[in-house]
Amino acid sequence: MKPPLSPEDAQGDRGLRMTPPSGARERYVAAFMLGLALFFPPLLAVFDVPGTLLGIPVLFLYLYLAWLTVILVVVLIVVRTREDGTDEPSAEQDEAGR
Amino acid sequence: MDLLRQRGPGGPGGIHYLPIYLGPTLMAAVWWIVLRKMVRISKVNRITSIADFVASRYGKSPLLGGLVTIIALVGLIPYIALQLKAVSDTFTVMVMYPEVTAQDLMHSVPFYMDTAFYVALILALFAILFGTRHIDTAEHHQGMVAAIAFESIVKLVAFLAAGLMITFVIFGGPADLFGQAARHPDLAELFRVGELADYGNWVALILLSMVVILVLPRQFQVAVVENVDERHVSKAAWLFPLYLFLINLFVLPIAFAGVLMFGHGEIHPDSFVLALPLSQDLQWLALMVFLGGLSAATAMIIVETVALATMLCNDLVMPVLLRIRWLRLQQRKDLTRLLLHLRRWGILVGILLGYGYVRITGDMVALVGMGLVSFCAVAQFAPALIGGIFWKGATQKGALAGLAAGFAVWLYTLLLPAFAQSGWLSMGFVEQGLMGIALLKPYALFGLEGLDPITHSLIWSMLVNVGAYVTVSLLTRQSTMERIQANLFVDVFRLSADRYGSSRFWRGTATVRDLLDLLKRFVGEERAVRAFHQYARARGLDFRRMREADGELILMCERMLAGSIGTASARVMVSNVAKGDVVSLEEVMEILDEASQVITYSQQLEAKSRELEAATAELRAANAQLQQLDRMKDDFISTVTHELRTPLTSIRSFTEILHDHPDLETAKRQEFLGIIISESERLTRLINQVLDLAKLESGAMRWYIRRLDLVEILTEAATTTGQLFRDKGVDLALELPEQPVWIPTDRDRLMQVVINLLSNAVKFTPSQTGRVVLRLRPARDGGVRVEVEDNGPGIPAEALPTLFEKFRQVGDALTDKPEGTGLGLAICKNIVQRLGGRIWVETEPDQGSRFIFTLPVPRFPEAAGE
Repeated sequence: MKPPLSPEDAQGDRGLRMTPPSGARERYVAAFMLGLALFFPPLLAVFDVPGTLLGIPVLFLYLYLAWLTVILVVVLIVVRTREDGTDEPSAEQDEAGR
Repeated sequence: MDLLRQRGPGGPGGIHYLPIYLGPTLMAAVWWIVLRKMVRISKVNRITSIADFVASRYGKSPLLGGLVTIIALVGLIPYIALQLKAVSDTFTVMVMYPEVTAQDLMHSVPFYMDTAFYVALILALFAILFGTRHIDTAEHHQGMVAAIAFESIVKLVAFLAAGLMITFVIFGGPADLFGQAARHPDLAELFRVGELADYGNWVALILLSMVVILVLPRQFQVAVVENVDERHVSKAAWLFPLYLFLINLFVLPIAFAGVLMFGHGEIHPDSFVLALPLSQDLQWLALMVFLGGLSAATAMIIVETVALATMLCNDLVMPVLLRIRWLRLQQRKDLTRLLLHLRRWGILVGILLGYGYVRITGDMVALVGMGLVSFCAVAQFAPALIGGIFWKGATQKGALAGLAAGFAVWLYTLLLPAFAQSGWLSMGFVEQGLMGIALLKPYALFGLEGLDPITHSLIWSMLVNVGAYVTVSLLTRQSTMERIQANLFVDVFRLSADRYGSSRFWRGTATVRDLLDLLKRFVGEERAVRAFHQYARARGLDFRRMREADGELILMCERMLAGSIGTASARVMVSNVAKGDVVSLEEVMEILDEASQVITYSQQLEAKSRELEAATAELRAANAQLQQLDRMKDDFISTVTHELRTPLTSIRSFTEILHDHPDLETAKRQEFLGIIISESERLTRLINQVLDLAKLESGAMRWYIRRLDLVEILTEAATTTGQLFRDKGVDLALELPEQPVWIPTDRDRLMQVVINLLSNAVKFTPSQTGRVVLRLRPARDGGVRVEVEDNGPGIPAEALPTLFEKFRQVGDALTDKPEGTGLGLAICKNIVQRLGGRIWVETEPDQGSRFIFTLPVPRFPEAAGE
């Protein structure tokens, strides 16, 4: 593991200093999985029924609400990640690779 | 998507417009993982297009870059055509409302009267102006991005306004709108996903749009190349899906409203969003919608064609041109103009090809389907791309195989059938399969029926693509460059914490002047000089004083060049400029190999010298041994001479006495004569034995091996020596088996041994009480064992080691008068060993001795009693 860099060591391009703690990756993947679950057949078929709710067709309502939910989850993750002191320039853990 | 049909050429209608936007939402959730890595990699390696990205990852392979470019080109022409038509249709509707007929939207008029043609030209012009002012495309077009962002917001506001207006003003709210729609016969069915196959289509579309959002060239351009700050990725991860959400919020209501208001057929559904406000005299709203939609669409086309043209120029045309020697491109003074021209022509060609496609297919319906067909084509990049940034083991050949295979499947299952449906090819192979083989029907490969063409093609092409990619990657090996690039890509976060992720070691010398000239040619003088100044300043050097370029400077130049002409071409150029040998990594590896070879060689030398020492030591030992043997030989000769002389002296003395004293008394005379006789005998014996031994040792002895009865030989020997025993009064007992014992042996020699042993035994046993046993027993290893046992004084321990050596006699040579020659046992040992046996003695002082020798008996297949 490399020792943390000081900001002066980092390249001038400001984007390269930012690295999140490893917890963020898991959360994003979780959000992804949530989306998969909500948008894919098993749950999808449950709501694929005729009829309306508040005058709006059920499927339509469900899809848009689910969509909005996923977006809001991602917002939460982004906000939470920033709060967790992501400005410390620590080196990213090794990516999986062969 | 024509969502008002239950089923169209693009698949099911209705709610199925939605998955294309759900997919990107899902992918955006993991953008922080995937996209950010792509951004970082592209920044570090100065990558400017998706073809560049793929080519760079797999060992800077121009072949791969070219293939990606071709696939992108072929795949995206329909998509460009689609967007082109959308723009020109919007324009037409806006201008000609309300007398818009379906006829106006066809393109049967000559091209110079066709709105779409002029739209295409204008778009090409915009694209050229926007995208080809500079050559270094690694620069950000922040102005263009800002303009796109602005237009997008305008479009969003407009569409939301239109949607709200239509839903709440024209109708009484969503409940009213949907309620009316439910009563409409055509619309009621569209609220559902549909049959099971439609679920397949749903899933396929989500997955397809998920990868397309990564690999579509314009997506790559905007999301990766134009990125200025990695933190933007996390913001985009929710902002982008939110935008999609809002823009699509009123799609269904607007569509239903249009049908409810206009009925089918008169106004094209895609124009409802314009037509509805216009029908209510809300011109301002319609204008906003028009402007927003038009500008956003044109921005899409511009970015798409610029990205395509960049790829065409960098990854297809330039590598080919650089390799054509007679063009001598590498000596041209200024290549910026060439590059610019190539880019511009690329844009024009791309857009005109799109227009051509519009004319040929004509119908919007057909084109709509083509949008997804294009997506399927570019989706073939996904395995190589995503695999490339996470899997180090992915090889170039694997990527090539996957891409080629997936593309081929796509061609066969989507593009060619589309041509057939437009009338270019016969429909025969579509309906009956290639060459009549039903399993090869392009829409139902291997019997997979019931799926819409997009889903079907996606399944098969991805299967083949990923399968070939993984399999070939596992089966092939990477070159050094590939391995380096793989590490650079997969470990980019770890590596870019350092200053350089360099993949090359430069040993060559290039002058600063040469490099500057090179750079000037491609990025222009001003920028080149500025870059060099910056470089020098950062290191505290004087730019004008720099003579030789060090490795870092060369790398910097290569990076800047890569921004203009792509990494593969940049490498070619710089390596030609650097004088002396440019050390590529392969060469470094070779040098390392050499070094290790030298080390191995020296190790081998050391080993050889050690062996040499050992050999020398052996030689010395052998020499010593030979010298000792020499001494022993001398000893032997002197001993033998002595032994011979002694009896000879006696014989002569006594003979002289007899001669000189003729009247010696008889008794005395008899005594002396007896001595002479015995000494003569002794002499004879000695000479015989010496001769025997000499013959034995020199191998000149003749051996007559026959199958003989050992019992008989032993008995004979006993008889021969019987007199000796009787004379001394020693008892000789024989313990021999009754049956004959046949062994192959030499009779005379064996007799010699046994007689010798018996004579010794008789000599060393006391008379009267002495007892010698001659015994024959089977040996443990299957041979025979002969024992001569006596109850004499035994043999002292110190005499044992040398017992069987020449001239060794038991007893002190001075005090005990030797009774033999000292050669007997040596001869026995020699003979026994020649016959394949062993001889030894078992003895204890005062316990007697037992001389034993064994002889091997080879197994005869016949029975023993023969």
